[in-house]
Amino acid sequence: MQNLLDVFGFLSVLLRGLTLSFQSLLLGGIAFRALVWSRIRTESQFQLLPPMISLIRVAALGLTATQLASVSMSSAILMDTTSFRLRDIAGANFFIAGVVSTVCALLLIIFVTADRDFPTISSLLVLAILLCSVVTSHAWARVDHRLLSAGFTLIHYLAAGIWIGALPFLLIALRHSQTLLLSSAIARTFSSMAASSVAVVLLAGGALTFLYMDSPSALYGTSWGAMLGAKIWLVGGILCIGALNFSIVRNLGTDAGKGLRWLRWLVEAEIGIGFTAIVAAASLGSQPPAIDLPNGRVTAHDLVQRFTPRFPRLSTPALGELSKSDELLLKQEAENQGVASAYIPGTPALRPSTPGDIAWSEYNHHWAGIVVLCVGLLAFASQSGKAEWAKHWPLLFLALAVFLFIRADAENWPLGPNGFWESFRVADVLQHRFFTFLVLGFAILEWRVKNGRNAAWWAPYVFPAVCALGGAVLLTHSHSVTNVKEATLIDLSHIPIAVLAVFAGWARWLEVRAHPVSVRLFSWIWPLCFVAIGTTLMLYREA
Amino acid sequence: MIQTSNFAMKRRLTGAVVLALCATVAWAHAILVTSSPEANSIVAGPKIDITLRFNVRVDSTRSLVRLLSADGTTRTIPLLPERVSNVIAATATDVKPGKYKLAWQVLASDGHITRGEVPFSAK
Repeated sequence: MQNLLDVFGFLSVLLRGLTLSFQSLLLGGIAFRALVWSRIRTESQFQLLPPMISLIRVAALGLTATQLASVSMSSAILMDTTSFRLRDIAGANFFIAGVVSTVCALLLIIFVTADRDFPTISSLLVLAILLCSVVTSHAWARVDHRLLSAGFTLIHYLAAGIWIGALPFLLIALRHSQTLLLSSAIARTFSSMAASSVAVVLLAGGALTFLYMDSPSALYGTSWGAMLGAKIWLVGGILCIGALNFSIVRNLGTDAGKGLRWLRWLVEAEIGIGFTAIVAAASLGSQPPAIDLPNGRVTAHDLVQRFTPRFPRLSTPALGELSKSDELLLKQEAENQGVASAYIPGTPALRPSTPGDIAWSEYNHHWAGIVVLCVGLLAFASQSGKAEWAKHWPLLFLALAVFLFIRADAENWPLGPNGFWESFRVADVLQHRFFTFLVLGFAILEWRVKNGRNAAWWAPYVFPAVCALGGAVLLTHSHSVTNVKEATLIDLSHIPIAVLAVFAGWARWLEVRAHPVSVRLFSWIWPLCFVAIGTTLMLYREA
Repeated sequence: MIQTSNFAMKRRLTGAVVLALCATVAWAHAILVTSSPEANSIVAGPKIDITLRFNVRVDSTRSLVRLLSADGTTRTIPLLPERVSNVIAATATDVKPGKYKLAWQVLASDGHITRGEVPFSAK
């Protein structure tokens, strides 16, 4: 149980992100059938294609798994930390909503088949799933404007599902379409549906922001606001791609084949960034809304003080200057300030760092930033075609991996007293080691791709996929419950890195997709993102 | 024995640079807005009325309050029936002079679990 408590916070957001993604996918499938497919196909070809049905079933199965995991985890923690038994917990909102959602998802697997069609039942089941999601959202716990919040949340989920969740079905439809005429008709019909959904998403999202945010300064003053900013950037990115798609669809003419090919590639990126925005929404939902945190916010003065550029720290403090234990917990810090604290079971506390800790961390960030900046610059040079040697830029990631392995967990081998194998018993060290090896792996793979040593079709996609996925997972990384100012400042520096990584990954994806056609826009965006990430890391400060 | 040193620092570095998973997220909404007794206050015993007001609705039947005394003993205080959706209330009896902590755990209406403590002294 202790191990579960240790990862409770992270798993909760991850499961919520997956739940929202699967529910959007289910809704998207049902909506695509009702609003696009039924208008395009003739009566005899009305059924969804087998890959679409498979996708709906996979989403339903995924939702079942995530709901069961979520309910089980929360129940286990409640039973472990209190004297409640399962039957005491069974009446709780989250338990009922989770079970109902699971049953509905399982029923969808039964009702959505190739040879039978139950559109009304499917729609009602998806609606029930959405309602279950609403009663486990911010809205349902509000003291004021509960029904209004819940209504806007439902509309927001509904429109987001119809837009983002239906995109994979559009992709399947385009891939399986036998004529350019049919493909064009599908794209045009979808485009109208998506445009309406975008408007509703923005309106409902704006209304929720109005209810949950008391002033614009909350955007930088709270972690909730910082995450909202990330979501706005991501939605902005999707809208840019959506605008390109809209333009392509409106201009589909004699050269429809080329246009549709581009449309498919852009839709892939739109799906990727879209589901990242959904993960960001889950992360946003893990934070108390800004309106509930009027005190202790980051001020404009704090921002200027923290983010005024300084020369990077290039010399490391001695290992002996690091603090030895993690005993000063967040709640103790709050106690010292004479305020009540709040924390989550298993959430490691953010304790005050010693000057040695700060120097160590800043040194690590700044050198990592220098390496990432060099990656971006070399990638630029390589793209220009004037520096052949610059194509070896992936090798810089090898240096970064070694640097991380040695410095990220200073209490472990080779720097600290904990042995190599012993260190793997600590969950976070295990995660760090895993991702260090992941960096190592994709660096080697990308270097081989750049040098023509790996001809596998999938090899060029590994780097952008890892980059985009890493950025998405970093968005689930947040710190504060009671709005610790320091934690918010860290979020403000790390969230942009996550968003830039997502954009870099999908820009590179599009560049690979368009190969051998060179599209300057995409081939310059991702190195630019790396330069920005490197610069952000170099400017990072903790005091 | 495994030593756990500056977790936050490690997490930030790897999370930022590897752009990957080293996350621990506060999955919570319930924040203690006001409490009686107030944090670090001195109240008169032996009977103490406890009121904890949160920013969100809480499920009082699945929440709890414990009284932790300085000598390490713990007792669960039965909660009073819910009157206000975001408040839990209880009455602690036989509270002797000394330092205490009110350890609370609430289940918010949206299904999120939050815990916290309110230190106070009884005279």
